[in-house]
Amino acid sequence: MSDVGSADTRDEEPPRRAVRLVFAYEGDEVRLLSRARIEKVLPQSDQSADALNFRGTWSEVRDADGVTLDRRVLVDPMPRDAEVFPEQLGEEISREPVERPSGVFTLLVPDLDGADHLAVLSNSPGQAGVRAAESGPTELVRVDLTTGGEAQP
Amino acid sequence: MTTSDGSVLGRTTIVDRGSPAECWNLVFLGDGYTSTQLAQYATDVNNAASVLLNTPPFNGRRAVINVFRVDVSSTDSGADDPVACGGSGAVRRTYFDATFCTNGIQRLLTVDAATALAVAGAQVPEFDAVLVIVNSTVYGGSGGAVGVFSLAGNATEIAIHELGHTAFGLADEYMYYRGCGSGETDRDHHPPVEPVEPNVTIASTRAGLKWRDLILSSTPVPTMSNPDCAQCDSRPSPVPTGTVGAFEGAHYAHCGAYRPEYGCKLLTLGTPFCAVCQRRIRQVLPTTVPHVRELRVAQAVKLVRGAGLVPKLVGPQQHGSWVWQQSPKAGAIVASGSTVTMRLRSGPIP
Repeated sequence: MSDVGSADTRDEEPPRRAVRLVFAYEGDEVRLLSRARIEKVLPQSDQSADALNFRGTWSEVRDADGVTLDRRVLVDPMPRDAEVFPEQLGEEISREPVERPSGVFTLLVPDLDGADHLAVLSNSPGQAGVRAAESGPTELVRVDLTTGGEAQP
Repeated sequence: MTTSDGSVLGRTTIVDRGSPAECWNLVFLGDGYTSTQLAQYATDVNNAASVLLNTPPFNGRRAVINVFRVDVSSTDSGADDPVACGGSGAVRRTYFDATFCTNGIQRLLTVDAATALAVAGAQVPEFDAVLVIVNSTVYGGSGGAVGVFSLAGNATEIAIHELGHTAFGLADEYMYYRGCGSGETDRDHHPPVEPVEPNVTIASTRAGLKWRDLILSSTPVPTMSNPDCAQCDSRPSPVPTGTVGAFEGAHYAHCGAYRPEYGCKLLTLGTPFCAVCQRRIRQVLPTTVPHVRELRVAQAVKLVRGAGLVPKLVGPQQHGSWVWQQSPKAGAIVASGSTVTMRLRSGPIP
């Protein structure tokens, strides 16, 4: 057996740059709290909502022409309830509605050449601020990706 | 009760498996630990990390999981415990402002999640998940952008359940919202909308199930149907534990939604993750590239697929072909689903 490293091929490396974004939400208002460029290899892009035939919330990184470069499905990033846990294992976990939904969520997306902006979209009937499904997904927030990279208020 | 009530002292890598850019990075924060209690905090983090890393499927992916501890001291020990929920009335000055009784629920223990994410991002920019241990023996915890749990027995199970949501996109599998005995009447049928999560579905046929490849041909589908949609189905499982099928009652509905197994950690704490949830977690976690050089093609392809990677063959694919070169190299940590290119030669392996 020969040395493993010396005969390995030199194919193109996957992208190692990413952007972390932190958002705050209150009701149906979503705003960017911070963003930062980091070195990070991410899982591959998700398929579209149409392809997956689902209702939910997702992020899209798009170029200046609006072409989607990356998509990440987000599972209930802005919940309107809270999960309550039993003290004894095996007993029921339950959910309770929250009076004033608010909180934060974070996204990690690849830092791609040609990226222009990031949009968070939803076609979930339960998501605050989402219009009727027949009119297509609602864009909840958009972030310009062409500027900066350090944390921004 | 703000960040003026303590200090961030720095980070310690307690499990180092490689570059944070490539590994999956779990960050522990602590709240309600005074500067003299940080040794206990370190022990508490080690204990929680041990529970997680011994939980399937994390135990099979230890090679790609880094664990960090961020030391944060608080002015006071413990957490707020309002009397409104039957608590002690304690008011504690802590860095992340931990409190029980959020939303009027005693066990709902929360922290300032924005501050927690900011601290985690400053200390470990490549973090994938953040858990906050609160220095209290009162039972409690919560999910969301960060998982929060106390030191009470079994509270670590809350953190692992919440990681299932936050880090791996898994749905709750329970068949009610407020509880089977809550009297709720709006949970009889799931809306006719497919959930995005991989572990619940409205499909009731074998061909329509997201996890159909994990179901034995001998297992009936649906495996269990609820005979009374006005109630939770509390009957025992008709199949052995661990059988993957389609069990009606999931995603907050008595009927019209299915879960993959009778039991799962997304249904009840203290239960292992079901096979579908375990697969999802493995798909999100990075993986290590197997050594396939100088192996026959069939064996190499099996190893690559077994690692959650996609084989790409270049060169003569004929009887006797073997792997001459591979990329990425063996042992490299890569995203699950990545391609492993194998350049082939034929003839005897040298």
